[in-house]
Amino acid sequence: MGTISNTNVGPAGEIISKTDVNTKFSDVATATGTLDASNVRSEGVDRRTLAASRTEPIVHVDYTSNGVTASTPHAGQTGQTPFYIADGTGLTLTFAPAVVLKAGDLLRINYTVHLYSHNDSNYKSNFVATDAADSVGVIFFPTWNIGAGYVVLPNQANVNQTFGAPASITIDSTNNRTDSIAWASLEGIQSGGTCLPRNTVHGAAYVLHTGADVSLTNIQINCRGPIAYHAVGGATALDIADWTADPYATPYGFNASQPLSINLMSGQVSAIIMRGDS
Amino acid sequence: MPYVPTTIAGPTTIVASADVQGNLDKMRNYVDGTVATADLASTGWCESKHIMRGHYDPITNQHSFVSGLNAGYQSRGYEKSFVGDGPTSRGGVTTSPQVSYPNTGISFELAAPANVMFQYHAFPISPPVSGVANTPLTEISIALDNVSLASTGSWTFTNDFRLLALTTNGPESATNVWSGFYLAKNLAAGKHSFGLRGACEGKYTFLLNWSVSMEAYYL
Repeated sequence: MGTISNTNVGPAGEIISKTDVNTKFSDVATATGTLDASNVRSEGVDRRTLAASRTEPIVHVDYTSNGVTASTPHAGQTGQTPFYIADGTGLTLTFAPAVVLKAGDLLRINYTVHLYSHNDSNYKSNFVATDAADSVGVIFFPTWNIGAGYVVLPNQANVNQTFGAPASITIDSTNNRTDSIAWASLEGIQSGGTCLPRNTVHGAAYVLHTGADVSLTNIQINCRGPIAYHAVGGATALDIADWTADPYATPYGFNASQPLSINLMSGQVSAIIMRGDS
Repeated sequence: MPYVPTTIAGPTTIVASADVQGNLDKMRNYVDGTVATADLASTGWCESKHIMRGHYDPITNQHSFVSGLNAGYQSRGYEKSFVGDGPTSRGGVTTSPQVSYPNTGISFELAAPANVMFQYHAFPISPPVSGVANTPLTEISIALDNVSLASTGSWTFTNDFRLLALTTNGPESATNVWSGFYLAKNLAAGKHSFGLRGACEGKYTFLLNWSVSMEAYYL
């Protein structure tokens, strides 16, 4: 504990000497070099007390915008293969050096992507009574690189894998979750030979890290579509469909020989990594 | 570095008041913001109970902490926030002059440079204006310190399916719910403003409900 002697520099009413004054200030200087918990009252530390060199950020953050202001086509889409949204300056966050996530740390990812248009100008949401799973759209989702390339976040549905059609991606509320995925419906307004959804979708993923430390180097935002939400008999899935066969035999304007062209516009992604108990 | 007083010197034994005051000022400045790492015990003396409690201002709904600042606003059920077509996108101009959606702003003051996260959501309703036969858009984006940020934009069409071909598009096609965010890295200390701005090519656009929030983390 840093302490200062309480000896007076001189009796009241007398002229004090510079020696005594200097001694007093020296006592102060000595005391401030040995501050510890005993010097600090409960609730006694605030930001003004500490120099910038003492404080450290409680979070790591990063943000990028791809800077795209005109729609960019992604032709040839059947939903079978996901793709990275590389438009403009891309939607990748890079941590250098890598951020080490420890148990208890919280990773918060936010992203938005604007689905500008697509080339199925007659698209409409076809509700088929015998198959309610008729919601068709494109999905955006975050992936991270913790040393083994880009993969989906923990307990998320396997939407970053390439599938041949038809195939189903299991989704549920446990370890095949979709809560990091942003869904953009293909519904929009017909304009010439295109359909204009003009829909900015906002996705978010919160990962409370558990287990051993991991080194996070990158986060990037991917897209895939067209894809169908499928729910039959209580089971749910995201379907990589053969768009000419049941249950998707309704006349969508896209199929394997006439794939969808997805036009995307502005996008952005951010990450906030909040320290837990580490 | 630790507090270093100036040794008071002089040809006589009389102590100059300026010297004493100078040392006291140094002491004040040290306690008020220049305590350095090396001056403190190296292990475990600072616990969470030592940290100052945050200060909550109910008027502005802002909560100030040692490490940052939080604030937010959520509209009440009867509230609406209007933007008209007149000063914005009437006539389908190429670059729309944007105006603020009322009551969507937050003013705040940072005590130090910070990383600041802004988020919003809003549900727009935009009736049409007679005679507009195209597909009128209405838009919104985050404005930080009076500068609209294009990367944060959301759009939707005028909510009138009379303008749509119902054989190809359902009425639900017209409405997009708005949601977005922006993260400002290393925003300077001082006063700032954040709010929602937009433009409307229909008659007007009003928000049925909305919320805005900001969270700042000092560097």
